[in-house]
Amino acid sequence: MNSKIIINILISLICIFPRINLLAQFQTTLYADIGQTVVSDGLFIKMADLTSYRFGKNKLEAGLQIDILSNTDRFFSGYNIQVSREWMIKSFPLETQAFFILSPFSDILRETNWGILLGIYRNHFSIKIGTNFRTYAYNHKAVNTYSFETDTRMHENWNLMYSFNGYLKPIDNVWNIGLSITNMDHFIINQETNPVLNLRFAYKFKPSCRVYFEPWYESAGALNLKVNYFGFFIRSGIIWDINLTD
Amino acid sequence: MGHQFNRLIILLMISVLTGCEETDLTGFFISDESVNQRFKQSTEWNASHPYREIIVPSENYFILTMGDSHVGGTNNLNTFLNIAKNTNAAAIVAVGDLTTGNASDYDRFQEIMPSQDSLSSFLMVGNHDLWFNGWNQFYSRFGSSTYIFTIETPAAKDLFICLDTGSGTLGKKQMDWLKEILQTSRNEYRYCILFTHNNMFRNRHTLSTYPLVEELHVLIELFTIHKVDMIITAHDHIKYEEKFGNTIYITMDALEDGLDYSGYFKLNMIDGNIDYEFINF
Repeated sequence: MNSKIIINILISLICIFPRINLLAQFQTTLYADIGQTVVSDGLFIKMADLTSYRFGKNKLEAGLQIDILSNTDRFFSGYNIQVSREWMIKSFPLETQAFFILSPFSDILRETNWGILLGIYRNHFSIKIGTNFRTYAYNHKAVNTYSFETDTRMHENWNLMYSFNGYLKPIDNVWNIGLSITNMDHFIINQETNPVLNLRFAYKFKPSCRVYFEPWYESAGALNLKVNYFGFFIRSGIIWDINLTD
Repeated sequence: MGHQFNRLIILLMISVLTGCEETDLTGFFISDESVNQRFKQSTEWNASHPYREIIVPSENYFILTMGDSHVGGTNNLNTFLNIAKNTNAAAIVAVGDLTTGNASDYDRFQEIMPSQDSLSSFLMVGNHDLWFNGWNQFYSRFGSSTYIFTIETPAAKDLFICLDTGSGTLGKKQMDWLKEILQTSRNEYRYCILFTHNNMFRNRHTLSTYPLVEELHVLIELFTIHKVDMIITAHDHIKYEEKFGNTIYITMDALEDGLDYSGYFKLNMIDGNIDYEFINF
């Protein structure tokens, strides 16, 4: 193991494990994905941390994804940051969200996304809907290696984002089972015509701690009316609410 | 009353899913075969039909390309084929959605297509061709949907790769095949042009399906590293062109009858340079 990998792991650990003495009222989500897709060349393992700080009705969140096992040389494979605010319209809770995602998916290419979302939460379901603006871009290494100075960016604008989630029990219940159809995840957003299905099993073993387990099924071509398996992975994670003002 | 209503809904769903002759809605949930199975059959066909090498006498040649003819109607297809024959195109390439998938439309398409001796033609499937178990119809008539062909001029040789993206993905086996072709053969050729049905990038709001982002990541990198010069696609029905890095991404107008913008695409090789034009009827 070379020094670069060790440094990368140390930085990850610093990011992943919360510094609870510095901040109040925050939440951290730590999860791991294990699975396989058409393009993963065998098993992949990813880990990610999402840490958020809530002040009043506002929330600031930052996330980091690392590739433990993959077919690329990348170690840090995703970064995101988002701000959100809760609103009440009469007794109807809403959430607005703005986000930015950076995915350096190759040595020569990266993808960035920014967008906005509106979230609606009820007892047994939640919906998120919004739009994102995607850019694929070559980096300096690519420009130097492959000798192009123009046409280094490709934009996809006004992509529809959605996440429809239904739950067997009320959202805050101790245990729950849910089903989602969505085209987005924390570090990747698919085109609107590529929905992904996932089941969610969650259990709150302490008031401030939940564990969850999610099988995700990815298919291609459903809206070609010629659906084809694309990939499957399992996500397991823990969500820890920490409120130091209590 | 409630049970009757539920039964009515279920009956309606069954009739919609099974009764439409133009759209195979069952494909939203289940497919007759996977892209891996089609690729396996394509490679079996390729094993007994070696890839075609076209030799042209001049540095200048052209290929006519079309997609989305959606036979039924054959007026535009006939016009396209007559132009190709009368102007001595080096080849024609049809990048899918040639039919509706129904056997009767495959019959009509096959009747119109000229023999390979009179006009070199290269076909591949689109999603519509696969509906109603259409792959069996395609394969029994035209064979492989994943293959290469080459065109050799006195000074150089160009590589053309045809891929099956009817299911919205290359699938693992076809992706591995593409990687191997590019790694082992790309450097032997001057230009590398790739044909397939599905578009790579989403340039406008549409219900068209694209490769999932994870697959697109792999493909863009592959096209860049191996200097693929052009990707020619159909699917979206409305022409579009954009250069990203050194690769030009083309979407053609549909050839289908009855559209205001029906058209095809002419790929010109002139004095060793790539040129192209969109041609509308």
